[in-house]
Amino acid sequence: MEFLVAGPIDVESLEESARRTEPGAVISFQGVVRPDRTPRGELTALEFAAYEPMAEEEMDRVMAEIRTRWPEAHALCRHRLGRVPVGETSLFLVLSAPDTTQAFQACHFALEQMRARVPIWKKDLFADGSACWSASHRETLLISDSVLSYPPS
Amino acid sequence: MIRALLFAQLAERAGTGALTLPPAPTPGALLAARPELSFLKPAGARVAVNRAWSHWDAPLADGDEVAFLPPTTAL
Repeated sequence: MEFLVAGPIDVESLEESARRTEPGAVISFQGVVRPDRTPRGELTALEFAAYEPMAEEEMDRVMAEIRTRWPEAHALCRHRLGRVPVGETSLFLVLSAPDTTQAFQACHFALEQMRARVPIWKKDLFADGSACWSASHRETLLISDSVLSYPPS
Repeated sequence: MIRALLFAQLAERAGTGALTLPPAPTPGALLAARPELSFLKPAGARVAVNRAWSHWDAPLADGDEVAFLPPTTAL
């Protein structure tokens, strides 16, 4: 599977592919870079890096587990690498299944497993030209100065 | 020898994404033998061996690829 992509994600093509299975339910999820204002400044983009061979293999395993748990579901997922400006899609996941429950369950499973298992990192890029590697959750970044300097130098 | 891969903030701090290290019994032992590399195990860091998640005390063999992975932040 080509999970990691260098340029913009072709959302329409992936959704069309998911619909070819003639499902009863299609769920699509987009992770979009949002224009956060943090104590460090205005975010202009995120830069994604990955342990690429392992990320591809680990995502293959996640997709295989989806096929085992929900045999009638069909999943497609793409994650961008490199610089992704505010407003653009960094992650696209589309799930099709015979019914709503299966589609939602498989979608939730894919996102949780990806977050926990797929080795991808993002760096916050700010308007003043500075940058820092993101903590796991932006909410944490906003409330803790100590996280802003992670890792400790 | 062990091929060590570093990513994200760990690679930036080391100034490289890859190191070649003498064999050690475990990933943890690789770092214990070299205090200057202790920064490769920050809070929440994990390790992978030959592209699969592993443990700090998992056995290593000569020629293994060990990746030191800071907490991931996909999505």
